[in-house]
Amino acid sequence: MDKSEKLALNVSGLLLVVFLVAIVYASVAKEVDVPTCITDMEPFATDTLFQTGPDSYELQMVARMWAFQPGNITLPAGSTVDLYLTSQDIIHGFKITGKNLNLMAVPGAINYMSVTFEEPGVYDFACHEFCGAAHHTMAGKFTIVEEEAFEGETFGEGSL
Amino acid sequence: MSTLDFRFTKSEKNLNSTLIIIPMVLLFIGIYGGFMQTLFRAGIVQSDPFMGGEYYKGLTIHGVLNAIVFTTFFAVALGNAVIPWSLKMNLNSKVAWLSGILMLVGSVITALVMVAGEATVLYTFYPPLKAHPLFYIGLVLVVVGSWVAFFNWIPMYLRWRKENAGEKTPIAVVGMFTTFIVWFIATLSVAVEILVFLLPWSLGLVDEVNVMLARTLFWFFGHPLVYFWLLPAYVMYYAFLPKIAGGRLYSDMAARLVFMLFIVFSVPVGTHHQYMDPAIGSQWKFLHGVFTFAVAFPSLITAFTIAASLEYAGRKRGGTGLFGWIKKLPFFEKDSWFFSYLIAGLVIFIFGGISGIVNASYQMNTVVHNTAWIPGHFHLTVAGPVLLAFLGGSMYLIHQFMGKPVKMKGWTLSVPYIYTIGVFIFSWGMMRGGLIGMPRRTNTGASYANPESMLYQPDWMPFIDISVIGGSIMFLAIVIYIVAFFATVSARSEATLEAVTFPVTAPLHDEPANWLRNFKPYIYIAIVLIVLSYTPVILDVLESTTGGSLPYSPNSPVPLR
Amino acid sequence: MEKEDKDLEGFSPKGAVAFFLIMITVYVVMWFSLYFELIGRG
Repeated sequence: MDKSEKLALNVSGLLLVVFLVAIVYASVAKEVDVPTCITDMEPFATDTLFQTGPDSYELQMVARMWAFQPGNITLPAGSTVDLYLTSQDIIHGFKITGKNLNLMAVPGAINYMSVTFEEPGVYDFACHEFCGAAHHTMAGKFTIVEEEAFEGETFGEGSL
Repeated sequence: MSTLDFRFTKSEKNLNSTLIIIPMVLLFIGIYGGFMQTLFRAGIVQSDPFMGGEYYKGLTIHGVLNAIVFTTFFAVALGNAVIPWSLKMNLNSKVAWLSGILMLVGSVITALVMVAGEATVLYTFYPPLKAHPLFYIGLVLVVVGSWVAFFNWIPMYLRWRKENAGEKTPIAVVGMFTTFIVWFIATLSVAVEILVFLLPWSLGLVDEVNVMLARTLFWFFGHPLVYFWLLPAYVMYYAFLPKIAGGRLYSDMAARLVFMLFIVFSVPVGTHHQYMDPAIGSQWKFLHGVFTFAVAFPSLITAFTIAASLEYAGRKRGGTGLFGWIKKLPFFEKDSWFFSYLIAGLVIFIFGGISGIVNASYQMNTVVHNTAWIPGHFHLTVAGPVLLAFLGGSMYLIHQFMGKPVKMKGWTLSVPYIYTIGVFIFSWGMMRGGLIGMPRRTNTGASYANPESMLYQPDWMPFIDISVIGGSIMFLAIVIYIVAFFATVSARSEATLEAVTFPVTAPLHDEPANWLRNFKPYIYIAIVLIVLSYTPVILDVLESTTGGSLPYSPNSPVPLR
Repeated sequence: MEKEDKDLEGFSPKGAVAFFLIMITVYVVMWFSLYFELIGRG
């Protein structure tokens, strides 16, 4: 190994270490993390949404061929949602556009991630794992309204 | 290095030609499917004359034929070529043909089942979507065939080591063995997935399958698979490119180190495809992320070593200044047409590399997972450097083994450059679309890209259209290649048939590197890392999943039994 | 093209080092642009 090779080796190692440090920082300081193993939750087959605190909700969502239940959720701005996701048939994928929430829905397992909606607006989600013939129609949305205009959380069927 | 005393037998030549030509036909079917998918996604077509209106059937064919069938055949053919040539030993012809026939039969079965619409499960075949049992059997035959090829080389290598004690194993042989050591370890997992779980379940012998477990076994195989694609390209970069460019490999030791690191770190990384999965602890996902960074390291070293080797070649050709040597490289020399396939792939891989590091970066995967970014990324890797190196390699092997002159040299030489323009446009569209939420594996033309649909997403349209432009250019390049390839295959044999040869030259810096001369310690380290990284993952999956899944068809939300 | 067996005297890959450092810089810029996208999404 000559000098230039050693330089390339060191720079490569340094690059990867810098990336790793940034990842750990985002995880620890910014609390942006990946889903982990959930063992303290009973399996569920129906969807529910209920308030757990002044600005917090728990949503149990079921993915199936070819709809999310619920597919249409209305909440006030500033809400934090503890989202539990499972599938009742095959594998589906769930990602909220513009948010750090991206989950696989796998039958026999429960996935979990928390998300906070600060800004009012419409947040779409679309199934992103191939789930059969009508996969491309499996979608839904969160509608986040101003706190003053909010008339109680709603959730329902349908993608729109 | 004299090779005059070694000749391939007629049987070896015929076998290797077959292993190149038949998969080339399958590759083209798959690539046609890929081109149609860009049109489907944009809503330009709803049906095509050959494959019909089933987008996901076409996508399955595209993935399986291009990423699994074509790549495996080429890797075996390259091994069948460079290992005997480098060791100056003929193959056991019977075993080699057995391997080839197993792979051919398996590929044809798999292809027919897919075309019949009995296996629309994509190339990842995640349960509980169920394919026809013959789909799994066909894949098993392809894999077993590739193992037989590998087992055929092992005694040759051991004999050579005995007869040439103290000599360094030729780098091409090291590279091919690395490829197949990684492949063998990885395919053990998918063999368990198929033979223990999916096949009995598909046949109806058992009712249910644990989906998370099958998925985890798949990705144990699925990520090392990408190194199985990449490593034969690395063999050509390290062993052939320096000579083709007119120089020497800068450092022999760096090449050997790179291959050994691939053996160590290729496998304990699969969970980075499952960052967004349930039932796996995030600490284990992080561990797999760290190992993935470790396996990025040999590729970074490769970037430097190859650049240094090319600089040496460029300076020998009279290049001066910091970057003047680049201009002297044989980009457009017809007799060095192979150069364009390797250099264009390397340029593409600069961007394939960083987008891959992004994917592997733990929670950053949230932004890109299962979005169109992912196919954008892997068309810069497997459909970039890997495809181009394999196409160039296929042309070279045919030229050598059939003794045919390369036809349409100007066009042949241009293919990689046209393709590079296309793939950059395509991937840019896909990746940008992915960042604003466009999903992968989705027939957007029927919903999100259809102005009449309630789901219409106008923001995605520019990026979908860009991917059509890029995809069309890529397809054009491949059509040119296929014409040139078959023109070469059907050309008249060269008058003076010379012995098969490969562009290999001695390295510039040839250090002893005694610690890099034996695979064994690296295989042992790899096994330890695999056990450490996968035991907790499998335990998590088993402990936190409930029940199994009945099989489903893609066409109905009601289970098949 | 010169004869193959004649090696260059005192070759040092300055251009390759420069290329490599540029590539790493590009990598840092691309990676962190995605990283800040992630942090910004919340």
